[in-house]
Amino acid sequence: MKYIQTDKFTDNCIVVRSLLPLKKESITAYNMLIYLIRSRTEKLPTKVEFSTALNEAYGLKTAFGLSGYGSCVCLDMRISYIRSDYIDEKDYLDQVLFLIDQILMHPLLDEANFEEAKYLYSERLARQFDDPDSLAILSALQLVDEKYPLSIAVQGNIDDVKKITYEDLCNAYEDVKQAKKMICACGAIEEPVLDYLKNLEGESKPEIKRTLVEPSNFKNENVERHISQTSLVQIYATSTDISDPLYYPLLVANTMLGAGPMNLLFEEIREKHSYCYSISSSLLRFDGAMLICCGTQKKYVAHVEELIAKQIERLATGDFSEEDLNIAKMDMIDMIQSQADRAMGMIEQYFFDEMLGRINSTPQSRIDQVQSVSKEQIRTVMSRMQKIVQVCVSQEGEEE
Amino acid sequence: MKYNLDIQSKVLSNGLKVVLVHKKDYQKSLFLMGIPAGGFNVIEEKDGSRFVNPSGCAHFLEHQMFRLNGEDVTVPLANLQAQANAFTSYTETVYYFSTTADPKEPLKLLMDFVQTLDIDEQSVNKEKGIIVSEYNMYDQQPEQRLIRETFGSLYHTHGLRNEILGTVEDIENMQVSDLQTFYNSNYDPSHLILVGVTGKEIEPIMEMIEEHEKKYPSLHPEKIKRIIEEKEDSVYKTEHTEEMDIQKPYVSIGFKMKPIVGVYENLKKDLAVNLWLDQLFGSMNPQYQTWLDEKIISQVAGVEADFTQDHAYIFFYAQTDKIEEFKDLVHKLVSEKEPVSEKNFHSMQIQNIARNLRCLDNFENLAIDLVRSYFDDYDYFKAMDQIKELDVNTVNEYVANLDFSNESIVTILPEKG
Repeated sequence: MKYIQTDKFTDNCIVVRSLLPLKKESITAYNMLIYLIRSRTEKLPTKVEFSTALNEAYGLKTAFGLSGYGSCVCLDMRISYIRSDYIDEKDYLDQVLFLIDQILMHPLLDEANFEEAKYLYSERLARQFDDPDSLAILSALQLVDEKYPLSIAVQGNIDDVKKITYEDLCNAYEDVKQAKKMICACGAIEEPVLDYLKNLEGESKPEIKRTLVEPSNFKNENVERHISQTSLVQIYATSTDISDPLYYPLLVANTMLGAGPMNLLFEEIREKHSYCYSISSSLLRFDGAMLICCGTQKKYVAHVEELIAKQIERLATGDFSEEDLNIAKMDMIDMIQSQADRAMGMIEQYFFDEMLGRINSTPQSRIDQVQSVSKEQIRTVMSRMQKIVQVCVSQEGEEE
Repeated sequence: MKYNLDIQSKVLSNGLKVVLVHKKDYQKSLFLMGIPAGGFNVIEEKDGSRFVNPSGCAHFLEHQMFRLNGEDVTVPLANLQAQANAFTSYTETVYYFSTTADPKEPLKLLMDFVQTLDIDEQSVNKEKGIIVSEYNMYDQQPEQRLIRETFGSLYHTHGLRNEILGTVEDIENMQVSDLQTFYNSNYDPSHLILVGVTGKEIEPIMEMIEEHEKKYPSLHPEKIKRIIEEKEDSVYKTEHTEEMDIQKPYVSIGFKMKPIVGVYENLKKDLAVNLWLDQLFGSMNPQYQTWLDEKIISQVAGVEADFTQDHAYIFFYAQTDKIEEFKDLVHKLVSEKEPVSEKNFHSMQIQNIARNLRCLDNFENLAIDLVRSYFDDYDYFKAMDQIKELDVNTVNEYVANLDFSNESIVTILPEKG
């Protein structure tokens, strides 16, 4: 168990992360499991009892979530509570400990609530199709070759929901119990809570396998909907792993392209051409992929595509100033430094370093890596980029 | 309750209000400047005469303000390791930046670009396509559409009927002169507030602000009055239905309430009614489980309430196939007006106290709440303490007196075929 001790937050935060294999045949069950275990426990078997107990423990907060990291999916159980020296109540810490134990170790896997979990989860999956941006991203990931983990939707599949039984969810929970775990707490954690966390079983060093998407034949899809504007999503193979010496140059290049406060996509496509309100790039680091998303009018799509390609080429040919490079670096350094102001940010970074086996990672070492990135490295890493997928969810009947 | 915050506040000679909060041990600084003008500022009154701005003027100006001396101010800010942004609500426009570096130079830039209008026809015309794209982005979100149509159905003339972004027509017809007039009326330093929440020492920052603000004397100190008129108690439309490209219907049942006078009285009523609604239409109500089991509601279901001096409403909403059943359950809830139990009140009171404590760690929330308390003319900490002073009888008295007779139902259905 990792304890990040700090006195500056009102809340103490705990995250227990279980590492599970990311497979198409099990991901839907893991998602549905969350709906089953998140709102009742053995000793608080109804929603009323559970939510009342949370309120009375000064709004103790819980959150369950799944996120994909290459071939692995992490199920996070997050708990945050107001530190006990802020609360002038004798039995407050006992209440907190009772709830932590109930939430982490005694969720109620009740067959009676299985139908509710199925209903709520399938409703959430269906809602994704209402949002053109989500639909475009989902469709783009589905076009990635199925040999890559990236092609598996971490949020699960609506077609698989119907097939899942209560026994499947019990088995999924057994998987979670048996899974390798990482535990991290941040704040001014009290001794009894620390002792409890130290005694949790199953903690071990994770091993994450990464399978990078490779440059391949370009796939393209257009979907028409009766909507106000077109969602354009592109996926690029970066051919750059986290262990690659050009990994930090890739992070800086992504900031310059579409993630930083000043970026080429924003400047050229939004500010110069007024083609959109929102455009950005983001990295799927464990998969060696970059995602570019833009909301625009159908008639502009072809030119937007051209302009995106041009901005990538600018980076690949060194057509940018030292000032652009420095601004991107400063933005990244600011992000690294501001992580120390968020308990969950520090926990995330700890997990990330653990999953990559980075033993000597510190904020300063990461800042040094960012600072050492050169223009030449940006050129090299961006010349590796290859577009592999594009999806347009576009306005029905509009002129191109 | 002691909130243990190190705060300095001052009104400068040009009338600018400055509030600085020191958050010990934090790396980050967040500074923002608030303008008391937003989507509601369409009809304004100055020196007894009224004038009408195009809808969406405050928001359009927000997009234009990032120019200083002919260049995009985000570049020098980024060069100082600061990330800038802005937002416009119904009642205010806020410009802000955050940084872990020394905040003084970026802060000077913030004060400069907010207090300097640098626009021309080219910059205004260029922005129109961007704002229309933003409008379209919200327009295709069913929840946004539901809220817009709910307000449009509840109100005859109130500013809630207008989108903060304005109409597409007004966006496309926006002129430099419209923005100049709006700026001159609303951006005088005597109307503004500057709030900083920072891990750095605040005394030298306050000195720097005071010195820098000497560049910006107050030129238009006349108080601008935002005119919000809604004479009718009745709703504009009792029913509204439209279609969208969605999977499942969305429905809202809105109730128009009578606003009351007095800022603290409104804050108290808002707190009390929201507390009642949270336990009535949430997992603390045993019936909530039944509504889920019967698939009348799903995760997209809730209730919103707002009680202010110019408007008051409550609306329930859900994404559901069982529209009639949802209407029945809401009508039952509002006709019964079941009082809050002592136990539920206690539970909700503790949760609210905890929420207030947590808010002090969130730079953005704290800064924005301080801006709103200044513009709405109340003491932020006194407002936070209202939850401790509230009792179950007061809550139930407010609930018993709620009038649910002015109702409007909005339905968004999946397109046929």
